[in-house]
Amino acid sequence: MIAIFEMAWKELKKKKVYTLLLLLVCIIAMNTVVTAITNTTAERYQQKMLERNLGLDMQNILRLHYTQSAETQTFAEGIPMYLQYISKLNGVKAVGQFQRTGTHFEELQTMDEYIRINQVLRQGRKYENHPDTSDVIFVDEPLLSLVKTGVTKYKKTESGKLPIIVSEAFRDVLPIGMLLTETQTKAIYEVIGYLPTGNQWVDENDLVRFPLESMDGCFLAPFPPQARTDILTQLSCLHNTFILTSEKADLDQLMTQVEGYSISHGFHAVAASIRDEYETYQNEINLYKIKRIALAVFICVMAVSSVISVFTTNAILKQRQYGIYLANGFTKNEIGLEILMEISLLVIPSALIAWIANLIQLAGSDEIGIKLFRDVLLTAHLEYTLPICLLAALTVGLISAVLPVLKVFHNQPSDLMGGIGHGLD
Amino acid sequence: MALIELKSLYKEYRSDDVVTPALCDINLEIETGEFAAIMGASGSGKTTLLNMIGCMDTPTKGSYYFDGENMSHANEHARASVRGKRISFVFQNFALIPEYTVSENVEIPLMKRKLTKQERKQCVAHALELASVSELAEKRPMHISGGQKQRVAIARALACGADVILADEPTGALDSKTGAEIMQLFTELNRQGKTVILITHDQNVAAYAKRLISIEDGRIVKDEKL
Repeated sequence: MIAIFEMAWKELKKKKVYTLLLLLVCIIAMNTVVTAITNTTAERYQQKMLERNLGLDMQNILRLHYTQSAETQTFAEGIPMYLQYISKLNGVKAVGQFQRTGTHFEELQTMDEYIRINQVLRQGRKYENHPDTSDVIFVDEPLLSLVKTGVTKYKKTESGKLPIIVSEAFRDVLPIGMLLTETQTKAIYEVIGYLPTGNQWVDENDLVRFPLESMDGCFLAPFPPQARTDILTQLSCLHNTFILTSEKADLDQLMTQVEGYSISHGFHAVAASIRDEYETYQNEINLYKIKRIALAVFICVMAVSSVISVFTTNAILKQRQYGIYLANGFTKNEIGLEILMEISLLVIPSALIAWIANLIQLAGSDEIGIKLFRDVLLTAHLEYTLPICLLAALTVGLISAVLPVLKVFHNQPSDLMGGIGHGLD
Repeated sequence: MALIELKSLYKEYRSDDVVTPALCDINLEIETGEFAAIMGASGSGKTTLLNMIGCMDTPTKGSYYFDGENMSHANEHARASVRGKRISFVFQNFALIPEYTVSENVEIPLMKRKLTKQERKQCVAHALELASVSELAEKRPMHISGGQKQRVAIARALACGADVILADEPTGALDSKTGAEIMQLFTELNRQGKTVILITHDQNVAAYAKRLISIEDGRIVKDEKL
C-alpha cells in the first residue's frame, strides 16, 4: 500500500501545474457541494432540533394567527377571555402566550457582579450593550410544556410573590428567595430556582423559519397580572399564542371553533398547526433548494467529467509506464489502485480544503443570512457535512477511476508495453 | 529440472474472427545459468516467446513451467511476483520513465519490497555501480546517451536481484561500439550466474551467447550450443 501511495504521489509531483489546476477545479466543485450539503443538512438539523425541543408533536401544537385585529384597549382586554374560551374547548390541553423581552429589575441596575456576568453572557447577542437589561422569557404556565426545558410548572412562593427562574449563570449572585422588582410594572418576583445551561426556546418572531434561541443567561417567569390587559404586551404576544392539543383532538373542529369565536367578536384569528406551517415553509424553500442542489450537481458533474477525461487521457498516455510497472512486479490491481489513489489524492484534499474554507466563511461571515443561522449552519457543517463530503469525494474518485482502470485491465502487460521491445524511449 | 520449461506451447491472436498463430508447438528447456539467444526474422514470434517466458502474456494452449511452477495457470499475483523477483527485463528502447531520475527508474522493482528507504537506496547504488552508471543517479533519461540508458535499464534489471534477465534486442538502438559494451556486460552477468535470454536478429550479438535458438513462423527450427 505504501508503494502504491508512493507511486501516486510521485505521479502527481511530476506534473505540478496540471495537479494544481485539477486541484483547483476539484476545490471549486467540492465547495459548491459542501455548501449545498451544509445548507440541506442545516435545514434537516433545524427541523430535528425543533422537533426534539418541542414538548409535543408539531401536529398537536397550533399557533394563532390574527389576520384582523385592532390596537384598542377593548381588543386587548378581550384576548384573555378568548384564551379562556379556547382552553375549555374539547381536545385542548393548554393555551397561552410567551414574550421574550429585555426587562429591567430595580435591584439589578446597580448590582456590579450581576452586570459583569451579564455583560459576558450577552457578548455578540441581543442587549450586548445593555448589561443591566435582563433577557426575560415571560411564559404563561400552561405553555411551559411548549418547549422541553425541564420546567413544567412555576413553584408557588411562600410570600405569594410572582416566581422567577434565573439562569444557572447567576446562581452565585441571585440566591433563592431574592426579590426582583420589575421597573415598569413594579411587579415583584421571587427567585425560585435556576435554569440549567444548554436549554433553548423557540424564536419569538417565527419558530418555523428561525432557529431555536439559547436560554443561557435568561430568566423564565409568568407575565405580571398587569400584562393581561396591557395593550402593548397583548399586541406583541399576538403571534406567540399557542394551543397545545391532545393527540385525539379533532383539529378541524377546534380550528373552526377558534375562528368562529373571533369572527363573532369582531376580529379574525385562525389556528394552524406547526406541522402545516413547517410544510408551507418547506414548500416555499423547496424551489430554491432544488436550484441549489441542481447547481451543485451540475458543477460536480463538470468536475467529474474533467477529472475523468484528464485521467483517461493520462491513462492512455501512460499505458507504457503502467507496462513498465507491470514488468517490474506490479499487478494490474495495484496499478488500478494507484490510479484510484492518484485521483483520491486530488479529490479528498479538495473536499477537505473546501470544507475548511466553508467553515471559515461560516464562522467569520457578516452576511445576515449566515449570521442569523450561524449556530445551526456550524453545527450542521461540523457534525454532518464532513462525512457526507468525504463520501461524495470518494464517489467522485471511484467514478473518475473507472475508465482509466478499465483501460489497464483490458490489456495484457505486453500490450501495455506496445510489444516488449517497441518502447518509446 | 530445467529452470524454464515450455511444453507444446501455442499462442494465437484473435481479432474479428481472424486467428493469427504466433507460436506453434514450442518445446523448450533452459537451464539455470544459460546464455541463450533467440534469433528470427521480424514477425517470427520471438518477442511473443519472450513475453511468455517473462509472464507478460499467457499462452493459448500448452504449459509453461518456471522453476517447476506452472505459470500458464498461475494467477496474476503469482505471475507478477515472478516478474518482480525472479525475472527482469531489458528492452530495446530502454523503457525508462522520462520524468523519473535514473535512481527512481532503477528503484521501481524495489518499491514493493519491504525495505527501508536506506536499504533501497543502497540497492539502487549497488545496481548502478554494477552497470557502471553511478554518476548518472540524479540525471533524467533525456539527458543521457543511448548506451547509458541501456546500462540504466540493466541496472534496474539487476536491482531486483532476479536470476533471469530477458533482453529484447538490447543493442537494437545502439551503435556497434556501445552495443559491444552492453553485450560484454551481459556476458559478465552470465559469468556471475545470471541466466540471460536475449532476442536479436544480429549474428554478431548472438555470437556472445552460448546457445542459439532459431525461430521461424512461430516454430523453433534450430536449437544449438555454440
